[in-house]
Amino acid sequence: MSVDLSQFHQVFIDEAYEHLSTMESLLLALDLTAPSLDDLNAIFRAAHSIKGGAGTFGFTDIAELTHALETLLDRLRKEELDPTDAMIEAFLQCCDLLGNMLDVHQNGGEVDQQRLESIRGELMQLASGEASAAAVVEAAHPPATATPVEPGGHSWLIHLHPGKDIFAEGASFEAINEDLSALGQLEVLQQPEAGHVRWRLYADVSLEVLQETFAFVCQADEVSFTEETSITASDDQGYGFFVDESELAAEREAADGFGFFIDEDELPSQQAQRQAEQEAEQGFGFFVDESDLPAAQPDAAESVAVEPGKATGAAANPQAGSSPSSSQTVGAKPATTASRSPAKAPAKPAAQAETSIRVGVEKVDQLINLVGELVITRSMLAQSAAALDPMVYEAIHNGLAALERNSRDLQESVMSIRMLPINFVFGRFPRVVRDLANKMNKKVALKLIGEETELDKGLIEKLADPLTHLVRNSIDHGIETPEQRLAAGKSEQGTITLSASHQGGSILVEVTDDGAGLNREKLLAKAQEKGIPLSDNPSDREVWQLIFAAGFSTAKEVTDVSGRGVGMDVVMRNITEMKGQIEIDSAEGRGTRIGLRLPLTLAILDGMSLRVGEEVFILPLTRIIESLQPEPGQLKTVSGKGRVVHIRGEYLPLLPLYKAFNLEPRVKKPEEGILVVVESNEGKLALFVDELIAQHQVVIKSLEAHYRKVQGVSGATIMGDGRVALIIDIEQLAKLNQPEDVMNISGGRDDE
Amino acid sequence: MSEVAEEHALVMAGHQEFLTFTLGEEEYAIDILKVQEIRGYDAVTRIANTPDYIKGVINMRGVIVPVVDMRLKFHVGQAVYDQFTVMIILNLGERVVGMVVDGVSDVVALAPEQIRPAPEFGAAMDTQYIQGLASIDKRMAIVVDIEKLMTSSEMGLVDRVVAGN
Repeated sequence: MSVDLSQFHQVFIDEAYEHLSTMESLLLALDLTAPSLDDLNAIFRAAHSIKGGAGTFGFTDIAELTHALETLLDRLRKEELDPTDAMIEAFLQCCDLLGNMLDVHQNGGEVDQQRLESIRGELMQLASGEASAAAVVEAAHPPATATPVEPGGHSWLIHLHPGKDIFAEGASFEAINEDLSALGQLEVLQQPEAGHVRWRLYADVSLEVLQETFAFVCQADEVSFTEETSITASDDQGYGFFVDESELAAEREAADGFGFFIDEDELPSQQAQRQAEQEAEQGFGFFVDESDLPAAQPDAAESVAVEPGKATGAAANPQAGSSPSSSQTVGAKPATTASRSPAKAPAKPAAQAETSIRVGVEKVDQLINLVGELVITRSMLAQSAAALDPMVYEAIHNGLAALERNSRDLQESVMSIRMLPINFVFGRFPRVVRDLANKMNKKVALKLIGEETELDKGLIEKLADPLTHLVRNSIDHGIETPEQRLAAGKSEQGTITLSASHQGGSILVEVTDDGAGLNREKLLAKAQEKGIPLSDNPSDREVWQLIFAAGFSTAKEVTDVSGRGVGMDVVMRNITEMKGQIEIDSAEGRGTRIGLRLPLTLAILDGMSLRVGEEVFILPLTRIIESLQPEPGQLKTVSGKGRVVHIRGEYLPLLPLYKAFNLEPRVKKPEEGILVVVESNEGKLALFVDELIAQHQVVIKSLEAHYRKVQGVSGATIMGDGRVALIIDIEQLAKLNQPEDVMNISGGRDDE
Repeated sequence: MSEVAEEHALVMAGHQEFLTFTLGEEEYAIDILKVQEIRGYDAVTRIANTPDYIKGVINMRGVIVPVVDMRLKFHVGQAVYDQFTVMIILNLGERVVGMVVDGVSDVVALAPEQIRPAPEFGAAMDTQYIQGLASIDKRMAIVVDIEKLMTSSEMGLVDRVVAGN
């Protein structure tokens, strides 16, 4: 009766990554002087869940490592040890390693065994470091760790209790005995009687091995395994020696799927059952309905094991010797749990599993597409219905109004599925900053502002790389060493601020440091050396742009952090790809601010529709500064070629859209049409169009899917009447315009 | 265009079905499995700076699809657009393309031996896109490898081909 668990592996791995990131962020936030019990418990829970899952799916190496982690965490949360910097470091290392191991299990590869051993060793050592009486027992206890166990020191109590007499139906008692004997010294405590058998097995084997042995004998819930940490079978007295903590640990082990220890008839109280059940849920939060799962699932076995109805029906336990141990274990539990971890919220992880589901991104995208179609269909319908007499067809008009409301709400909700808080990116930086600062012997504090700001998932993923580059740069080049900072009259600790905020239709993400700032002279000298052409008296803005040039680095030597000159050009490329812009401000000695301005989402655009001749175009709203109808006096012709328009002291190049797109316009004189002033990286530009139509939110569609890239156009959308409208790419348009037209007029370019 | 749907030629073993259409005086045949649908010519959005035979793009149920006028491309027939103008929507693997022709005539089943290699001759299309010639009743149809044609650099429908204008 073996069930293929591999279908759950991906779920486990996804979950484990989530738990790891929770753990990491909590660890970094942990205040060493006054650790919060809530946080410690949360970290413990995360580790615990990973261990439970890893054990279930046979990732023993992960289970072993998390066990070591858990042992230390357990002592921390019980306030037996105080957390130290070294411990946090070890935890973080451990998190990294676990991530690495998950990756290996997922994609294949090799786990660095040496690293594994050293980290585990460190954790164990830390856990036993300031050993108290309890710790000695604790250290001897861990079941899954590689600590050598003395012969007979480690044993399993196995109770087979099938619903029917399986031996009468052909199962071989001898065969099971043989299998078990192969694992270690076997003692038959109760001979088969209506299928019930009890064994004690002295062997240092993992639970999985035992489960496998019985996989072909009976259902997983018909056999229970109790791990005994005791000395020998004869030494029953020894149980009295154990103090609460170790019992608690053993009990916890059992509850999370490592050892099914409870003999049904020994459950002392309803309270203990509840506890055990809650524990069980915690360990397997992702199995929503345990009872629906195939019986061979260990967790299902577990929930059955604590079922009160079965407890009464089970046969009397002849093992007087083990009784005290077990009942003491369970009995101790409610009391200690109550006193030690008051903040424990057992139902939480289970509740999370029920309130969120995992869905593939492509499914969400498909949904978004379909809703887009719906919105278009609705407006087509509305257009046709507009011709109908409202008096006669009142019902239709009402119905359409309701449809419009509903479809708009639907569209918003669907779009919000893709939105994630920016914390998903920001969350990694406390760690990055900490590690880098340590490595470079700098003191850096990280401030996060606006972590709740939501943006499109696609953008979040693409933002991670450029932000990491920027933060590394800030630490490496921006923030000075403590000595330099003190000498400059600044506080020893530098600050890097990551902030995110909504600004109109876009998101502004800023990386600010209070470091040395950019050095104009150094940059200019480097530019000269590299042969990058610059104007005679470049503005600060132009100079700062130099850092985006490929291969440009002012670092004296290449470190493993930065200095190779790649990085900033990658940042630039990524941000441009996301249709974003980069702003740099810097003051020497005071710091640098790098702002990334990004659209909220890649799928929807706020646009202005405008008409040129018979065609409709969409202009991204964020780029529009103003629109106006010019007076004839505002227009100037330059050397008979291009024209400029004079708007409030600025001369802006005039670009007739009908020329750029080769169309026949309705009006050819700018003073009869509309000028739309837009902002591009090349400067401001006045687009001349026939008329403005309306403001829309449009769903961006790709032209390249079935056609190819079109110059001056960034994509297309479908308008209310079902026609395709092209979305204007202002950057390209500005560039296209440059050679033949009027872009070389200096008056209109420098004033931003 | 509706007679296409009505005529279901018997497909015997080894026979392949072709859609035939006319361009000027010539009759062409293309693999029917490449045809997604046939529709009227409507609501095409122009794209600037493209050759004249690329009429623009249309909205095919939310997907944006380019439209090519074969009459303009091969300089045959009259490029008029009215309610009789017919567009064949082709599904070429990853890509969907609309193709305007003079008229759609028939669906025919052809055995491989009915398609004979084409000699060098003066068809509007380059011979490298022509699979062969087939005689249907008393007419002759030019069998075209439409996928090869549409994805060729000559059509300028795929990237890396800068359409000169």
